[in-house]
Amino acid sequence: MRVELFIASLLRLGVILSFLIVATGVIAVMVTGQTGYGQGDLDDLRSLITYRPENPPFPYTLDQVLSGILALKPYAIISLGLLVLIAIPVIRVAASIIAFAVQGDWLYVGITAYVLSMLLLSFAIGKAGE
Amino acid sequence: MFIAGGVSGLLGIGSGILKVPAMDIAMKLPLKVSTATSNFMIGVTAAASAGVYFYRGDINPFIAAPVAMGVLIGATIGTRIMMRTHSTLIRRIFVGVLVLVALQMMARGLGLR
Repeated sequence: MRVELFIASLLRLGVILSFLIVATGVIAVMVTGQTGYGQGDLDDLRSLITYRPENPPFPYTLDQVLSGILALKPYAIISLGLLVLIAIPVIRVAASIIAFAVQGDWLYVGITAYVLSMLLLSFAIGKAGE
Repeated sequence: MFIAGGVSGLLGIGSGILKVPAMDIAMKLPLKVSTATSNFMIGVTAAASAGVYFYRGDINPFIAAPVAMGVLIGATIGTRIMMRTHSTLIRRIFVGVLVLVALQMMARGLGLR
């Protein structure tokens, strides 16, 4: 049960962290009036939500997010927060494998490991299919 | 549950709408347990597709940021309220939401929107 509570607090911490990062990015956009990725104009909000599959005006790979963070681009900060949010359930699944192993519940270790491998497989396929 | 995943992937409706009744009626779990479990399952399954969408440049921060912030605040408050609310009230709210979604989908299907 202690493991469960530890995982619960880990999740809660992750959600708070993600919220704070996204909020920082949103405030940065509002204060600087820039997204850091050109092509969109804050005076013309429609241009910011126009769908450009060839050349999205925001970071969408880990490299772009990291280099954007180093350059303090507001959109990269928001994207980092979103990535943290996406990563939370994946981390939770990984953590529950350990939790089930501690309890000696090997059937559920197997099932959870299968779920985790499917999650990671979907990320790998999604990246390769680009 | 397989059907729930397929339908939600196809129609873009929250699969919780199918999972909660499935767990509540077919598996006879308490409603609060069904809601919490459904919430958690959606988190894990949505992460799989969200990661793919992110890599493909389909997640626009300008739209995603306010949505994420709103949902996080709402979900936190909703969870606190749920712990204190009687499950019959939650059931009534759930039925109301189901009816609303059904009407909305019918209206869309008939081309009224």
